[in-house]
Amino acid sequence: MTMKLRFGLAMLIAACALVACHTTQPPVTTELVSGNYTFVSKDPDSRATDHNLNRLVLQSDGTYDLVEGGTTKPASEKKGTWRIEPGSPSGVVNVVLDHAGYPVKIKKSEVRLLIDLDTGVWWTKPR
Amino acid sequence: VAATAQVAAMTSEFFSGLRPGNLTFGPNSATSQVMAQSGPVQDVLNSYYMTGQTSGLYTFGLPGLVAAGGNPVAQFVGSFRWSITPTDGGINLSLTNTTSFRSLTYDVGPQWQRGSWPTPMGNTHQTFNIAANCQ
Repeated sequence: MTMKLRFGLAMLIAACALVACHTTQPPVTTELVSGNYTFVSKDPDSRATDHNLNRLVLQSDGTYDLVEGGTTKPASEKKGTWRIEPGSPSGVVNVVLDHAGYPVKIKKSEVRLLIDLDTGVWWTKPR
Repeated sequence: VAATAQVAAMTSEFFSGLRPGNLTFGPNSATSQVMAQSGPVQDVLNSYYMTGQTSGLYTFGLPGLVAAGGNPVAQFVGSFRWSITPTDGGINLSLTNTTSFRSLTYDVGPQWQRGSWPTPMGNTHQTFNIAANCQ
């Protein structure tokens, strides 16, 4: 593909994205993201029994409790502090568990903490 | 030129389902070095230096598209997961990416694994290792 054609395609995508993504996400607040999360994985490479015990609790006092594991994978528990921070690229807001960031996506009926967009892995809780 | 050729090869291998689906690029490879110069990687490094965050997900979208600019590797990779390990002389940055039909369709389409037989558009995985020295 020539650079000129690629640039044109990028501009077309950008224009479509501007139109399609004009809805702004509500502000990410402690009240909005606190709560009990369940784990979702659409990754065909992952076994459900490796992560069926996963859970994440974000307390409104800024502490979290993360359990990862499943019936075929030993579970581990981690506790620490979480916070909300601006992420990158600009406009992204992260929930950061100690030093690990998760971009927040607010949907109509749920709050997602994104782990992998390519394969579809995230934490979710009802909004 | 080498990185552009590598991107063309990865694109061809994804669509055809031929050749290895999992690739790792070392810090001295042209592909990792071109990726290291990209806007998204600079965004990640800035985030690390400013907040101390050592792992996360870089979401592409429109800002990512603009940040990637004409960088062929960044445009191919799109969104990626990243983790940073501090070293004596700087940091090691590891980027992992999956190329899938799902990501090609902006996360709404299906995805499938590669099989032992050529599987067109089955998921392929890339890891880019980047070393950055403290200045």
